[in-house]
Formats: sequence, structure tokens, C-alpha cells
Amino acid sequence: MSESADNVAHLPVRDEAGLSRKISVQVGYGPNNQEFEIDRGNTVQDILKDGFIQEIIGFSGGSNETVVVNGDTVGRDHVMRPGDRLEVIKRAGEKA
Amino acid sequence: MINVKHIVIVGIGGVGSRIAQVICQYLAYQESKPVITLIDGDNYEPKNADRQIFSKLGNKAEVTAELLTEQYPNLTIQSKYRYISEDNAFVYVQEDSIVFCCVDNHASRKLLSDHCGWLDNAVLISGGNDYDDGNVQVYVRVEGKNITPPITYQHPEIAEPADKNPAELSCEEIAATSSPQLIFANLKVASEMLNAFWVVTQKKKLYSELYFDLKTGAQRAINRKEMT
Repeated sequence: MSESADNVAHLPVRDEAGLSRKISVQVGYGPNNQEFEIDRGNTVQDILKDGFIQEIIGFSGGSNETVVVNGDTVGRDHVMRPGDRLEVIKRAGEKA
Repeated sequence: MINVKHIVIVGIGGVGSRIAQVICQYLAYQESKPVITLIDGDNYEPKNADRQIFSKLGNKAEVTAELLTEQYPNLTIQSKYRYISEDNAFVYVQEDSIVFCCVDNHASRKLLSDHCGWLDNAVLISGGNDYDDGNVQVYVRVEGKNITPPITYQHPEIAEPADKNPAELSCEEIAATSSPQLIFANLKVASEMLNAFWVVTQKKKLYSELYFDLKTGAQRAINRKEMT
């Protein structure tokens, strides 16, 4: 089965393709952004499981937090593209 | 920003009872004295003593309003022995209100957010905590326009709540929903909700959300823009 050009662009890049294995993305919380390099083809879940995002947002992230990329809510399987801005929106506290 | 005529505190528990105390103390010495309404359908029980202050057992709104009226006789403090619901929100939350939402369920948060969305001028300050972290959201409407997004925005846990309004639950069901809470988390939420009140009423710059984590000491405020 052939893959669309769009999908191919997000697969992990082979060395012989001459492209960097790494891409740069923004991880942010509100007005604050921090640039990170991740492996090309990484999904949102790949980033979250590494744990470094918690260092940026300053909070422990649960598995059910809302994730927004470039302003749109996305699933954990969303493939990150160069220059994407990812934000984890912490779930609202329930008790009071 | 808005001419505040009413202050409504919904939920007089570990957060709401603290807010009621401090907001009355603050307003007692201010020129402007909006009517304060405390709303809760729950009763103080001995088990609440680990996080809440009360002089006697009874309905939380009534007991707290009675105590605060004694302390601050120059204020008008009302109590409503009810859970907030679709049937009474339009009576208790009217134009020119600042609402402190201190409930322990997302269904009531959504109800209040939706209701404030129908008003031209209103502020909803909603707070909540899990065991050792929490957040405050500030929904401001002025002249029929959202200055900050509703608290349901980018919060599906509130927009599509998995829980129910306590007005729809039996006493047994309500008791089953209780979980351990840390008094320090309650105090932090209350403090940040009061700070949000001060910012909304005294400052021009707003934030729409604030998060804190007691474990790391982290705290961040965001002015999130609603995307259409």
C-alpha cells in the first residue's frame, strides 16, 4: 500500500535521505516557549513519555491532559512537524 | 471593569468557607458593599472539621452567613440552602455579579460557566484542586463580550463533565464522591481566587487561568485567548 506524500514526510528520516533526524519544536505554557529538538516522526505521546515537558510546564502531566498543537486540540498519536508549538493544558482541579 | 452589585459564593466547603471569611473582611472596609450570597445544599458535619471552620452543625451556607453577619453587621449576607442548578442559577446569579465557584464537581462548573455566558456583565472565578495541585480560571464578560474564554474552553473535563450536579444525586451518592483533600491545597485555591478577584476589580490586566503545584512550588498564570 502506498503512502501519501504527506504521510511520508512524517516518517522517521533515513540517513541516506540527507535530512536531519532531528526537528525543532516549541513546547510552551501560556506565553512562554522553549525550543526543543526531537526525533523526526515523534508523536505527542513520544514527547510526553520522556518527561522533559514537565520541566517546562512545571507540572506533572497526567495521561488525560488536553494537548494542543498550534492552537488545535490533538490526540496522543499526532505526529509533530518542524516548528510546531505544543502545549499541555493541565486538567482543572475537581475538588474544593 | 464591571459595576459589581452581587458577590455569589457557590459551594461553602474547604475553599468557599475561606473565601467567604476573607471577602467579607475585605468588603467591610471598602466603600462599595455588594450583596453577598452564600449557596450550598450541604451540611457541616464533624468530619469537615479537618479542613473547614464552623461554629455549629447545620447547613453550610446558613451557618457561615450567620457567623459572618455577626462579625460584619455592615454587610448584607444572604444564604441559600440549595445546590446550584439550572432551576435556580438565573435567580441567584444575575447581571453585575462576581461568582466564586467553589464546588467539587465539573457539572456545576459547566452550569455556572454556561449561565454566565448568557449574562452581559459577569465574572466567574472558578477554582479547584486535586490532592496537591489545582487551578483557578477567570471568565470575564463585559457588555455581552467574552474578555476571557469560558472555563469550558480547552477543558473537555468541564465541557463534557463525567460527574453529576449534586442536586441530581442522593445523599449516599454524594457521600460516595468524597475523597481525601489537603487543607493546604484548599487554602492555596482560595488565596488565588481572592487574588483573581482583586485583579479583576482593581487592575486592568487579566489572566484567564492559573495553575499551581504544591509539590514543586510551581505556579503559572496564562491569559488564554479564545479561538473562534
